[in-house]
Amino acid sequence: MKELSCDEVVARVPALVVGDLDASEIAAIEWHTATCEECAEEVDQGRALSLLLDDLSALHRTTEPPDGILSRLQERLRAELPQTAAYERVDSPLGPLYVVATERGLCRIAYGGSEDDLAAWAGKHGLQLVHDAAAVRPYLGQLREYFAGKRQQFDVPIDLSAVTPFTRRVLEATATVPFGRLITYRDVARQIGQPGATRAVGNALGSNPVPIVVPCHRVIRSDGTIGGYTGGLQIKWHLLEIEGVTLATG
Amino acid sequence: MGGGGTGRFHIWSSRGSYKQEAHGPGGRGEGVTDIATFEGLVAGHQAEIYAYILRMVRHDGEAQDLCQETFLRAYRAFGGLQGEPNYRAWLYRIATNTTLNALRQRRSGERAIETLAASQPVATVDEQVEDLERRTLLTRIEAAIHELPMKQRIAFTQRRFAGLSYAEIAECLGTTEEAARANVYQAVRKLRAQFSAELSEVGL
Repeated sequence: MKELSCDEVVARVPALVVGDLDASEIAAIEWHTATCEECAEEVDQGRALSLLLDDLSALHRTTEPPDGILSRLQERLRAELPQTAAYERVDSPLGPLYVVATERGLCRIAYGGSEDDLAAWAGKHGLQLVHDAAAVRPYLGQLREYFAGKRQQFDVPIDLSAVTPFTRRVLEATATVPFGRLITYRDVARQIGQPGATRAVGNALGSNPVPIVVPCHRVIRSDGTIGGYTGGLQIKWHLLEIEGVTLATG
Repeated sequence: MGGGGTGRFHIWSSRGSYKQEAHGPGGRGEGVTDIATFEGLVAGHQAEIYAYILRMVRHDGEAQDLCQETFLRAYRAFGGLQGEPNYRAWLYRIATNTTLNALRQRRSGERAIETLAASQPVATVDEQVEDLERRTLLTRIEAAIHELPMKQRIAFTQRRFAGLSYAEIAECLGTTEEAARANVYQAVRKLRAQFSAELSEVGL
């Protein structure tokens, strides 16, 4: 056993209190204090302090954080999480389509393009793409029925959280236009209470993330010509044809 | 005082167990960006992190807020973690920074908050301890720890109550292991000196 001087013993008391000493070091202290009353006093005070600290430690360990913490934290974390969006690529009479949906609803129908384009779009909107045909199946089903002429109205939830408030109002107004009917950009502008915003309506429809389902193809110019279409005019013609609409050439 | 021979070993070794209680999915390094894993981290460590912050601020409402803030910050940084970090020490580091910020703001704020803090009973040492005298002493010791210089307080709390290593404490304080150890020992010496009379009386 290593013999310790009084100074060495006293110097080791803090280490003793916080539990830094191993058994042999403790034994050396015990050996010393067995015959040194003064050091025994110091060491015993240290032991008493350590016991009290153990008590404090035990008290704190049983201090459970209030229930709310974890659940509130989860809420805030979920809000920060990139939301996942399921997607599937399908062939349609209009060519290849990407159909994307979050758990809130359909959020994107993209005409062609590459998977990288889609990923870039998703990234811009804080969405994480997951290839998941099952999650998208209900949307695909209704689209197929529409292309086959067996469906005139879509009955699916739509997630428009990625669009601006103005665009959302334009899209909501557009969504009320029934199958086979037409409306003008100016009409939509009026309907949302901004009659001067015809051009802005055109732009908003141009950024419609869910064409076909929000039927921006049913919106044309006031002069009766077909106007524009993001996926290409061919597609707009095709969709109107499905709906039995004929237009003078535009 | 006094206390019998073999019992002593028992006392000193009793606190070694706390460290082994460090739990949770700490060691996993791969695929850690999913919330399930992070939730595991929260579930595994929220109690001790909350207790740590509570010791630092001694106000349960504020401790709750800071605890949540700590895990939010941790979450934001979680995806950028590389390799197999020491999650537990990492959480303590974030908790310490978060708490220090709050305390700094509190100090630059007004006395009013100080008064508020003083008026709040320390939530932890309450009816859990039946012996009134002991309870009073514990409360006083807790208050004395709170009065320690900040570095000593952090180092002591992390070492004695959280069982962090000196390397981990040093990293947290941005200092050396020796300095971390010196801070802890200094805190102990102060407490022992301050309560010298009571410690001799209380017996073992």
